[in-house]
Amino acid sequence: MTRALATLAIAIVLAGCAAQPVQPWEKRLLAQRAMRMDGGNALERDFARQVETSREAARGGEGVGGGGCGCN
Amino acid sequence: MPVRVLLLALLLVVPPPGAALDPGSPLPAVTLPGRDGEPVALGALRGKVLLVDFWASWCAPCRESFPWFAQLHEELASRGLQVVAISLDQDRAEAERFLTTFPAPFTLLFDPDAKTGPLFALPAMPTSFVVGRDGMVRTRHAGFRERDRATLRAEIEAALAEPAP
Repeated sequence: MTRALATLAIAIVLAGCAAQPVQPWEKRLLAQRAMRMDGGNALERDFARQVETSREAARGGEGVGGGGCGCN
Repeated sequence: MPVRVLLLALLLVVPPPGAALDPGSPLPAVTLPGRDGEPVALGALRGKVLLVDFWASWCAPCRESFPWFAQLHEELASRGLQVVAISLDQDRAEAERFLTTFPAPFTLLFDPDAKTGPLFALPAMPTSFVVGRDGMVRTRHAGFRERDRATLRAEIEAALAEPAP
């Protein structure tokens, strides 16, 4: 009885994962600039990158180009 | 018994695929209000080649497509093309703001409840359908990219060249 109840509980909890994905026409808020990973603010992003690379002594260590080898 | 319950739960986890509106299927019968509030039935436009486009003010590629649709309308309306742009904006004011920046001289319909979304099984925003004079969907385009212009135009020209049913 307990096992059946536990299985039923698992089934119900799993069914909670059946949430329908966001439909393309429902992406009004998701399409906003502020919803980007970098916040969509170039100034803020550059500032944060400047602080981070200085603090981590990792200038040029981000992305491609200018790896610090002096060859480009 | 537990296995059966688990299988049932797994069935619930996997969402059922939506029925896509594939080329060759008839255009769903929808009636939506136009810009002046007057309802327009898509079925009443039979006999014309339709370019049915689903858009929203927040959709970035729509900023590219609207000026091009306007140009297409200018060029091909006399030969029987009707561009029908269906707005899926929840907020009408946002759609109107978009339309002041990107004027649309073609047919505009408004579907704030996005009832046509599942009906047309839209895979992306924007999505456009080329519909022949017989009311059958010819092709479907998800999104709007630079290369879609040539393909869409060729498909519309082909549909315009077909004899009226």
